[in-house]
Order: sequence, then C-alpha cells, then structure tokens
Amino acid sequence: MKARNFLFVGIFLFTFGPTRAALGGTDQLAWSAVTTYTDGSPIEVGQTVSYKAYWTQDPWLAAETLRPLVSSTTSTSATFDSAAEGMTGYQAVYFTVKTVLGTGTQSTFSAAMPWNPPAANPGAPSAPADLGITRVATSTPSGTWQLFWGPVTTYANGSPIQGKTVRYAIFWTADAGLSPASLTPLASSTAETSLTFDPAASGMTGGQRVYFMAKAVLDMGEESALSPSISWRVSNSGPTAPSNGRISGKKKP
Amino acid sequence: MNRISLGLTVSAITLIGIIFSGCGGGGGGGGSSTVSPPSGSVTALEWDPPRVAADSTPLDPRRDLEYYEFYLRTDQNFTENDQPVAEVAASYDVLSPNGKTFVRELTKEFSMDNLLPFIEKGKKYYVSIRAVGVDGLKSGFMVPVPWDLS
Repeated sequence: MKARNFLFVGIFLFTFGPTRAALGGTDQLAWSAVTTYTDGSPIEVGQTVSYKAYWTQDPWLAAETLRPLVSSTTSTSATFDSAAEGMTGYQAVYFTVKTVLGTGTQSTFSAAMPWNPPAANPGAPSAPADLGITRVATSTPSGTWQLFWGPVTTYANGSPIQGKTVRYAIFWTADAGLSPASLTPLASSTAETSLTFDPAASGMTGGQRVYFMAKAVLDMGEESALSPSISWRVSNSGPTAPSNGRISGKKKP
Repeated sequence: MNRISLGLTVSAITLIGIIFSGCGGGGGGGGSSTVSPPSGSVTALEWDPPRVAADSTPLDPRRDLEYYEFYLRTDQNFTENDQPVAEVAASYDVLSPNGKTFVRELTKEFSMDNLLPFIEKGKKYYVSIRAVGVDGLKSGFMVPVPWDLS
C-alpha cells in the first residue's frame, strides 16, 4: 500500500521580467517536481501529478487562513501579482504547496516558505505594529472596547518621518483569509494610537471571530501596508476557569 | 531573470518551556569538571485549558488565551483581591520535526518549584489559577488544589 503523502524537495521564489516598477511587480513561485511517494518509491508512469499553491499571513498555516494562489496546475511554478493577490509590502506572507494525484490522493502541505512582498510605494510609511485590544467599559451589552497600536515614526525603508502627520485607518473583517475586499473601516482615520468602539454598533456579532488591522497614512496620501492582524473573539465574557487541576510528581528530564 | 532563493526564516518566537529546574539531584562535585544532571522528581500542577467562554461561546485557547495567573492561599477562599504570585504564557511554540516550522502547543502544566519562594515549609497550601484572554478578560478561579508541604 502506498503512502498517501509525497515528498517535497523545496520551493523557491523568484521574480522575472523588467516590468516590476511599471506594473507593480510580477513574481513567480516555483517548487521541485514530486516524483516519489514518501517511502521513496516512484509515482507510477501515467499518473497525473498536479499542484495546489496557497499563501497566508499565518506562519502556522492554519487551514482557514489559506488563500489559493493556483487552484490546480501540472506546472511546477505559478506567476502572480502580489498586490493583486492582496499581499502588502513588507508584510510577511507564507507559501505552501500540496500535491494532488489523478486518483485524488493529496499530499500534506509543504513547509511554509516566508516571503516579504515589495512595497508598492517607496514613500510609504511603515505599517503599524503591536495591535492590542482591551475592554474599557461594560455599559453596553457587548461592552466598549479599545483597540491600540504602536505609533508609526518611520518610512518602510527605515528613515524617520519628519514634518508630516501620521494618521491611522483601522479595519476589521470576519474573513480569516483577510481578503482586501472584506475589510470594513472601524472608524474614520485618526491621529491617535487607540480607538474606542462598540462591537455591536460596528456590525460584529457575539461569538464571531474577527480580525483587526491598521494602516498608516501620511499627509499626501501615502499609505503603509496593512499591519499584521490580531484575532479576537467578539465577546463580553472572559474564558471559563481552567479545570481538572491536579498535582503530580514527574521525573526530571 | 532575477532569481532569489529564500531560506526559511521564522519570525522571532519566544519559546516558553515548562522548566523543571531547581532543587533535587545535586552532587557530582568532588573536583570533577563535569556536572551531574538533575535527578529525582518534581511536583507539577496540571490542568485542562478552557475551551469555552463564560457566555458559552467557543474559545480557541491557542488564539484567545494570553497567559495564566497562579495564586496561593492557606485556605480555599480565593478572592478578586488576591494577587498572583506567578504567570506563564498560555501557549508556546515548538520546532516541528522537519526543523523548519513551529507548532503552537498549549501550556497545561507548571512546575511547583517556581512557587517555592512564596511559601513557608511545613504548611498546607491551596493553589489556583486563572486564565487571561488576549483581550485582558480573566476567568474565575480554578477549583483550588491542595498542596501539602507539611
């Protein structure tokens, strides 16, 4: 009986063509052909071997966060436009590929390969970081919450921002894939580094998992990439207590 | 064609282990340059992480919990006025067998050695913990567990 997983040698990413600046950049993800099962035996001649490629911002490749780059191809590469895919400059994404045989048997996902998409605008500020959330009041059924983040003081290339006002646009979505089309502004832009909101009034429902992201915007409209997202379960209740507490003796390792 | 081959880099991740260090074992000196490994046993508190919120909605402990707080008393009457004596992250990352990626594991035990600075020998204590969410909301106290040091 053949193993159901296939061996991946590795994936590489390379850019091609001289038109990156004009067109926003085209990149190519490439991987080695899969020719054997995980036990080393060759895949039968005539067996169709195709690949599915995905990207995500989650380094742990959580299934619900995977976004298809190529749904199915027999090629060992995929060309893509990072901006069109919704990737944002300097915000790490992770690629993974799986193999599918003509019989429908699929491999596991390859190891995550990280990549930092190039910034579309070289004058863009850095993306906000260190997003967090805390409750500030319980006066409404869903509570009043404050989202906060670290101030942006540099451009994406590291040079300091001087003489310009940095404002922040905050977004939320219930889409684990964080597709740009799903992003909803949480409020109009602000120069503060925190924002108070009522989840219910913002359209969130109790128990829903939502994701928050922030973007820095300069005076002349230069926008940063989106910040890494934070995940939050919409609830005005904390966790239940840990259970089944017990004390045990263990041998030291 | 400008080809860029990228090695695997993983963002800085703090690996928080459950450390069974401290007392026990020993010996091994005697002028030798080698050190004996720790021996004997260690007492650990174990628990089951919460998987639902107080409003009965599902909770993902890997994503929704930030840390646990540890409390000690000589009776079982833990209150909101009690102050935690220790904290531990609710999850930690371990390297996958392939050596390239990390897997997030839940913290479910804690060496009681870490609490020794806060107790008097010969007394009986109760230990309890609270889970704290990424949004700062805290659970109630876990049912106190007796810890007899007499």
